[in-house]
Amino acid sequence: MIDTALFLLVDGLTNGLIYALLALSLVLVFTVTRVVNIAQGEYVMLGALTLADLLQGRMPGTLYLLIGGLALCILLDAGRWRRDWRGALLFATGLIAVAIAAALITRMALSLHFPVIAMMAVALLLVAPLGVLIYRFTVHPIPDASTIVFVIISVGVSMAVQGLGLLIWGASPYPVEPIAAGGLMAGPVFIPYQAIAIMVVALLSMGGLYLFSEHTLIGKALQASAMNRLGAQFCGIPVNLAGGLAFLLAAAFSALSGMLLAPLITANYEMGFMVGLKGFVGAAMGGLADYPLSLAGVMIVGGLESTSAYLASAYRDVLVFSLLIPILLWRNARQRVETR
Amino acid sequence: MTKLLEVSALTVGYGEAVALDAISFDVARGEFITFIGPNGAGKTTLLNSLMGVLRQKSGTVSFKGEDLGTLKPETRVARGIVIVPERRELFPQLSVEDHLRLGAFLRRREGRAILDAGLERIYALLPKLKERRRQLAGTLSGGEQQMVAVGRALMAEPQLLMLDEPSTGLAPRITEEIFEAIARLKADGMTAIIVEQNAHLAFSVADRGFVLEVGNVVASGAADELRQDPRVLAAYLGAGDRYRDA
Amino acid sequence: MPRRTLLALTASLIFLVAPWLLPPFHVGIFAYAGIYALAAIGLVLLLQAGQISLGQAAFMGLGAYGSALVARAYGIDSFFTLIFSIAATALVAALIGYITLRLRGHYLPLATLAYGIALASSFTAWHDVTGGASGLDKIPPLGLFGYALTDDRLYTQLIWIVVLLAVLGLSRLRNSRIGRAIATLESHDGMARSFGIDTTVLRIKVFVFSAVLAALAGGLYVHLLRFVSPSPFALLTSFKLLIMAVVGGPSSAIGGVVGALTLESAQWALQDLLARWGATGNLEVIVFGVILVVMLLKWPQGLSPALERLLPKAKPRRSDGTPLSARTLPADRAESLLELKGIGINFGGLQALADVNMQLKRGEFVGLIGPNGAGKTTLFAIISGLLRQSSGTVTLFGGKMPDSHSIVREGMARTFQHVQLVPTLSVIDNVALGAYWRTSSGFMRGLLALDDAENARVLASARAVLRRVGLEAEAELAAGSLPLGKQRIVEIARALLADPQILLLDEPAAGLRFQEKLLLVKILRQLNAEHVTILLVEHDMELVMGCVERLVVLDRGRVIAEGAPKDVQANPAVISAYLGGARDKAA
Repeated sequence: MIDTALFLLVDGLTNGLIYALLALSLVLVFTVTRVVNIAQGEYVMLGALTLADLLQGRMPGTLYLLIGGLALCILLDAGRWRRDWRGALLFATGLIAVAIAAALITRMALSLHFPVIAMMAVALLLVAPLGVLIYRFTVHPIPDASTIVFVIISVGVSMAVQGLGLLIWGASPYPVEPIAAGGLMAGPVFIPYQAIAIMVVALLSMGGLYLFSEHTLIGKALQASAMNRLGAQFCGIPVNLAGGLAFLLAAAFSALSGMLLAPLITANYEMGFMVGLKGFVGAAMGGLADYPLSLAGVMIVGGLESTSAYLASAYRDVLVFSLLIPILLWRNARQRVETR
Repeated sequence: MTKLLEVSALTVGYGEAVALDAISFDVARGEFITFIGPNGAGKTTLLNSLMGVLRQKSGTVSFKGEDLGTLKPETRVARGIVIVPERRELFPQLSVEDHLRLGAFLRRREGRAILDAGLERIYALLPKLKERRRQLAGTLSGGEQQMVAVGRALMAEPQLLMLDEPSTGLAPRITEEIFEAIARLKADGMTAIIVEQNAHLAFSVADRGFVLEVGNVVASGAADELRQDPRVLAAYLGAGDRYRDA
Repeated sequence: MPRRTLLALTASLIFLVAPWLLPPFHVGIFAYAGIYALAAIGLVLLLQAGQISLGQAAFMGLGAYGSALVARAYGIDSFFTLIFSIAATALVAALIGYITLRLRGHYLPLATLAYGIALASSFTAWHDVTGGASGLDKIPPLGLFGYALTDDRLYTQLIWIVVLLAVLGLSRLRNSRIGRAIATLESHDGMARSFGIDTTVLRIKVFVFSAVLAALAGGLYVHLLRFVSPSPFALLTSFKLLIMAVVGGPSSAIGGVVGALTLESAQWALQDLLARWGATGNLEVIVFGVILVVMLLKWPQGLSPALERLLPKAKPRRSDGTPLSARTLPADRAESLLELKGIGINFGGLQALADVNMQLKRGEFVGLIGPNGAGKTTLFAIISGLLRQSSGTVTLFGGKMPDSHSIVREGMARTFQHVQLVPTLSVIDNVALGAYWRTSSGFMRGLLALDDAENARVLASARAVLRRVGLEAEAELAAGSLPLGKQRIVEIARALLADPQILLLDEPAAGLRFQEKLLLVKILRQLNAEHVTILLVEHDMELVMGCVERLVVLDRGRVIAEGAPKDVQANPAVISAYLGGARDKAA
């Protein structure tokens, strides 16, 4: 009985922390840009599959996505050449430099057979900029669109990215090496090292985000843009860049979550979507705007998921997603009281 | 002497409506000018359009000889135009000191020492802010919030400071405190546009004034002359009778 | 016969004979396109009401499983099981709608996603009954009294008959009393309530009707395929339906059909192409995703407005009925219509209003003024029932203040500071909204076009009011296309159609030019002469002073003066409130 409980605790905590990185990403994106990003989970998939490729010595398809995206970015900027060719040239050169740097780093990583941790860093370098590109393509052109429009757009992004994942990697699952294989016995319960790695990496990255937003001016500026867009503009903060930064960080955190998760379940092109949605269930607890409450939310989701997997595994998703509705009702009611 | 700000035939509207109808004026360095008038006259619209929050329909605004055109608010801040907005637009979960440091966001490369000195100058001007430096803006009183907004704007070292209704919703004693600070800024050589409903207050610090009435300047002149001008009262309480027998 | 009707009939005929002209494989595609069109039309209706659903496919699933399981287990004619499953889905949708439709902003789409996934997952999870992921076969065909519809062409024809009926019904509904009300749901909740529309109930009705269309689609699907499994009702289908609605365009029911046909044919063409390249899997989703994003960025209205421009114009609707009977307003000026006693309200410790007393007598023309932050907006919100005071009492027509959506029945109508017209509706339809409470045709009567006579009376009354304010020529134009000055007059016309005893005007002259203001004043004077009681909040002092008989002046949440314009203009307290008195002089 006790070992079951302990097992569920470890399992729930691991799940919860993986979702926590997602919830963090969702809150970050929503507070700064007001986008409810249904596509956030796709970075989980991109992170995991990129890592799988790198660890198996293949050139990851993500690199081509990145290069294609940068090219499209230059193309969309074409209108600027006539007005301000210097700026446009600088911009294009910069993007080309980014593409070349990404390709070189990837090559180097592959030929030097980096260790898992270093490969994760390389994968992050490849996936995170995709967040900025998607911001540039979908949010930047219509900053004042309604929530519903952004929701629908992110549905489109999710479908397109998932489809691209299928195109690049096919439908078969990829095994991913854990950061550390094996595990230890804590009393009667076996704790895999990967679970410990997940806890360490997740906590470290959350701590990192906390330090960044509380103790750097850029972090404060990001918070300011989230709290009051106009006020931030009046301080001279370029809020568009703030939106891009939020998408960048969110893509990085989600990709990281995918890389931590993949060794547990193998990576495939559809793995991200559900993870992203479970992050939503947790983040909804804090109205998509409150970090500590979101953390509490994902821990509840993680725990509920472990328990229900144990008791009634077929109904796991039914339970988790049914939970979202009362959470939303509670948030909605609270928000109404606050606006009164 | 060249003018710092030159506005000519500025017309602004929301959709079809005209909120400002071909307004022209200029501001020289070191000058304090004020726009007064009842609400709905277009005072806030004027500042929002100078700040780039609202797009003008026609007319030009040039600052230090540069046409501001469609520059975004954050770019105008970089040029030296800074606003203390009517609704203050603070960050409720950030501390007073965070606000001041963010006010100097564009000066972030000037070095810690210079910025700290700037911070101390603000604290000297508005001592209440020093007491509250760690407090979150959302928990401050209305007057203290207004001071934060002023302090935040000053941290950007503006060349043109725009104050939008600094007295709105404040108790007379707090208003007095804020206007004392404004008067000291003037003594230090600041250039400013103050928009106020409270004409007496505005005239107490301004060199020149403009009276706005539903989007048009109906009177202008030295502050001391306007003080006695019956057109000011008429703008507020409607002396005309064009509608009486319509 | 009008050209538009002729065209519609020809198009319908083509749709109905198409199953006999197409090769067998394409008949199948055409059938599925019809099924998706039905569910997408439901989604279009939701979008028109400013709602969104990422779970529409789950209602298809309920309709499908409900009918399939019952028909398979009990051998009941599947025509009846289909009706049963639609009814059951409607009940579930009513419950879900009741719970979730109070959610605002980003919470609503998340909630639809949640029940969409929860329902779809339960089709898999409830293995014993549904057959789990592998599904159930041997589902009976659609049948009635022993006759079974097994011919695919006939079945396809039936599907398209249903689709065409749905399109016809919804375009009828759009021009009806309920259709006008639905158009307000997207972003004019407060306005809708103030004209007597119970928006909460209407939202649920729309939601249920949309789910019914989805359930019908699901039922038709499952008896065509004669096999049921969870995957067609999963999230991807919900997303595809959403793309159909967006691509076709939410502005009319035809959008659902256009979107479904476009997307289904694109899907088959793409899959064909991809198969030739040797690619496998649902790669067409890449294209769909990109189409969705690009459509929203570049053509958020979808394809149907472009289609609409190609078609001949619809003939004007009947507006020849006898105008609605209006109440006669007594000329007696002693009766107190509205009385405020000791009104106070706090916002987070800030006293916005304190001890406000005010009275409005029949036939009076009163102005409410005050400097910035005086509390006018707050007081106006209390008077119009959008805000509750924390202390004091409001007496309206001798009784207690009713709910915000019942005030108009009592005889008080208002205009809005920020014009609250539905920009896409015609001027006359916007004005007709004012008569919502005076008429009664409901959802079904609108769908079945049984409301023609009543609608003609409403439109006749609306036309009469428009004639009166000088806007008859603009009656059929989209309200959003009028200049602001005319829009403000349309707002007044709409309030007049509510047959009010008291007219509340919230800054009706803001942003108007002088000539427009003159016209406004003329209309207001005339109304007042006909014994309409008017309360006016306005910034243009010259205008206020020129037309009201009495003024109430607020400052810092209190009434500081009251009386005739001349006296108020000379009142030292008022002058000091506006210009700042000696107490405000800085040292």
